[in-house]
Amino acid sequence: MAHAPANAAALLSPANTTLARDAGRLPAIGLVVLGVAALAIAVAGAILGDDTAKKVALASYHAGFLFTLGLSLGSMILVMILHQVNAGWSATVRRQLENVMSLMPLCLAFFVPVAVFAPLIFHWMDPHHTAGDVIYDAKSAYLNTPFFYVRAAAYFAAWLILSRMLDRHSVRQDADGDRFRTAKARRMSSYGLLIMALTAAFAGFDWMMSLDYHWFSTMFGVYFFAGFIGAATSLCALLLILLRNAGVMEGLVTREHLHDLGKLMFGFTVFWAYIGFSQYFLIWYGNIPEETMWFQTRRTDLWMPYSVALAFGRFIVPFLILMPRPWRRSPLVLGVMAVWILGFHALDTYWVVRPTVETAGAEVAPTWLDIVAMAGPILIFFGVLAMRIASRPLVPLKDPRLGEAMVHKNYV
Amino acid sequence: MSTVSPDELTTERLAGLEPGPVLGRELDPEVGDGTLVSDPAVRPPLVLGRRDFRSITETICSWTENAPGRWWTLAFLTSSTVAGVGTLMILYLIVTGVGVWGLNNPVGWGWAIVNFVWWVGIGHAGTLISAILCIFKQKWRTSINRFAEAMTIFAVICAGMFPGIHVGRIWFAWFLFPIPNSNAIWPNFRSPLLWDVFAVGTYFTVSLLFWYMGMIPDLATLRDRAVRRLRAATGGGRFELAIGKVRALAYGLLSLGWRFSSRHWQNYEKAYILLAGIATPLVLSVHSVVSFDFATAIIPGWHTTIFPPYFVAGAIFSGFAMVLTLLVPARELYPGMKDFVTMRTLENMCKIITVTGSMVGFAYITEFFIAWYSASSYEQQAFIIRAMGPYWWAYGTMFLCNVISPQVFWLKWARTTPWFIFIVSIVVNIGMWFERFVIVTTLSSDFLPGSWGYYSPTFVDVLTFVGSLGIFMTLFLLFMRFLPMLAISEVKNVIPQADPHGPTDHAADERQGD
Repeated sequence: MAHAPANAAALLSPANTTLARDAGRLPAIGLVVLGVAALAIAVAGAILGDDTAKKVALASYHAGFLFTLGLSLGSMILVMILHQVNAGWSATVRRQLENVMSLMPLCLAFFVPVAVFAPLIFHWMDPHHTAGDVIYDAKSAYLNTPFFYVRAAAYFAAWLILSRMLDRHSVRQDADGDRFRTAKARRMSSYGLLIMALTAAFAGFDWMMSLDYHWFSTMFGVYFFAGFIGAATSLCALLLILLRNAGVMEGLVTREHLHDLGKLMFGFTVFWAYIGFSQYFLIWYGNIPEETMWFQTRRTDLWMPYSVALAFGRFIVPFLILMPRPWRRSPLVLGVMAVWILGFHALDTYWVVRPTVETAGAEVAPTWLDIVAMAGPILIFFGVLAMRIASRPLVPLKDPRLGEAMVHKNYV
Repeated sequence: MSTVSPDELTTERLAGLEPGPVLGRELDPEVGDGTLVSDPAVRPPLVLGRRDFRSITETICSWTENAPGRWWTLAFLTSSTVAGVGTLMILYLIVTGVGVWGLNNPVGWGWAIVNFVWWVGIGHAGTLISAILCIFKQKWRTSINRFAEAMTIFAVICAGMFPGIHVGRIWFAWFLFPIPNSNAIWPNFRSPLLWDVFAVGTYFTVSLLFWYMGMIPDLATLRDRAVRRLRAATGGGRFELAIGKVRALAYGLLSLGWRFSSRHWQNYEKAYILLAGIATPLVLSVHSVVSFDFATAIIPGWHTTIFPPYFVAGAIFSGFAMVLTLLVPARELYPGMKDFVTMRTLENMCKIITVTGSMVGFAYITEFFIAWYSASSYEQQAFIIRAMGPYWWAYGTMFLCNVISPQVFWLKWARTTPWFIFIVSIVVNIGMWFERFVIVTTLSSDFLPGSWGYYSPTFVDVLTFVGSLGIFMTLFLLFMRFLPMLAISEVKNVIPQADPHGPTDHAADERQGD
């Protein structure tokens, strides 16, 4: 290890790089139980409630699924980018991203109810909605039920294979120490990113944009990406802060790494605002009804407070708080901001999905059902994630760039 | 994992421990100059040829201090002649009116806007390399940032020319600026054309400051050397003496009293990172605003929300291509330059071209798909006409050059063969010009088939564009002749000797702790 510090071996000892077998098991199980309970309440509420209640529960559950999917996709894309740019500083950080990425099968499980009840979520699947609708007819070659499922299968196949292969290289390197696995993962990431760009964008079109199937925006795929990439970075920072508090990863993940993750969180916050603003602005300026209707739905008395909260909470607040260097280096401030960004990313997802629910053309106000239905998958996801983290070493033990990461410093 | 970093080898050799062969060559003769190692445990050296501080200064300064080669004179004469032709065309335009261009009724914006957007796009690479790659701590950028920033400045100058001359009545060119005219009529602040003036103006100012500020220490080096040469001069005629005095005076004025004191350096580094931070959003904002010129208009094929990031990706794409177009020959022509601009630098740039080219391709596909998905017949028709209408050849050229051609860099051979990189970089530049041409000629077939028309340029259009290339090259050749082409102080910063903590001394870091 060319750049390793003198005490590298001590830092990489199992005591510093693994969680005790039962550490965090209780909160993990607690999160899963809470999530299952929330889902059970949501299901009960949906079954006992009227037609609208069913739609509300499903839409919010869909938002919860998209939130967890975004975290996995975002983590996978970050892993690929870090491989592609030959990053050295992030070698000790990467395993946490890989943990989130490796939950892709869970996302697939979350997708099953969405697939089953798709006609209640996507209006275009409902013949009552589309009868005599010339706009739907024009795009029905794409928006039709069989093709919808074929595409979903293709996306998940690509994501599952890529995440599994990337994860396997990293885990196997822990055992065999073959440094050329890093080169292989890097090669995979090149075409992997190309596949991710196309599948993530079209998944955004399919599962978010087509909720309002008359509406269209070329930026939408990028908007989906811009949201989840920032959330995935924030989750990574949050996990590392929690692990440091648990007394592991001493000297492996330092304030320097948190500082750099804070910079990325700041950058992706600005990127989200740039994409969100550009999309809104061009539609506002063009002022054509077929485009403005999407924002019009979110400008009603009911949804306007959420829209404004999003602009402040997802952009202005983290932008200002993540700007000063000492704050980005403070685990407390950074941890709070990571939770904050994750919260507002959840709101963003909800804000895209939920206003599409309507009964007889009237909008439906948020209820308690929204909270439980959306929290269900998210809590289960975090619970399973906690188990995954405890199940394997916290850093890629034999990564050839571990030394560089351990001595990483931000001088300027 | 016990592979020794080449940086350490260099350190040892330079400390006189082991006077070995020239570094890099012995690393792996199979792959280029030795910087193309693919072993993940090895960080290839950034500077080759066992360079120390002195030899870096000597080499880079020698390019401006020695008489240029014959190629320079030849290139300068050619490009300034071409620039002269361009200037004549502009004069002809001003004297006669915009009728000398090929504009017609549906296509009210012709080559002038195409050239403007093309040049502004090219002007993105410099600031990206110097600001964004600086923030990402990409040390390989130090050997190309000065070069790319100069290119940026000259490209933006060429870009700025076109809005100025396209107004028809040139004496109203000041209408571009938000100055109330004598009738107290203010310009329309809701017009993206006005924002362009702000965006491009700000970008130019900040890029110029960034470039100049970064150059001050190097200018001071040139000043000190000019003064020393003047003092040491014993022979030489009166003419040489006068030239030497002018040199010393000019570099002295430009270096603003820089004395290399540690306080100067401290302020300099802080200012540099601040300017990098300020310049970064500008890289994104300029071309986003340029894209608004089109996207805010509710013209099919123009009004689409992906335009801002898509224009930015395209701009970086074309900018990197132009840097390579200039860098690959310069690397051959200037002695010693290959030690700084290594094969790995070229390879990295090729990869950025492939990434940004693929982003542009992604945008083309999205545009096409959403045009169909929108179910708007005008939108659909605009794209059908683009691909299969009278300008199909332009669309085909664009797609081939921008999306297909950069994919050759997936092959290692392609991205490590300088002459081939040079060719692809020119192909990309052509493709990006056609991209803007395709967007502008969308106007030729608008809502009413009765008003459709075909736009073709006149010889004045063509020669004005060629002239702008001449102006660009003239300015760039002057830069290569008189200013430090590589950032001397920054290159010194990335050689192993400059690291105060050293690649092996981490004890100090450990004591500082977390």
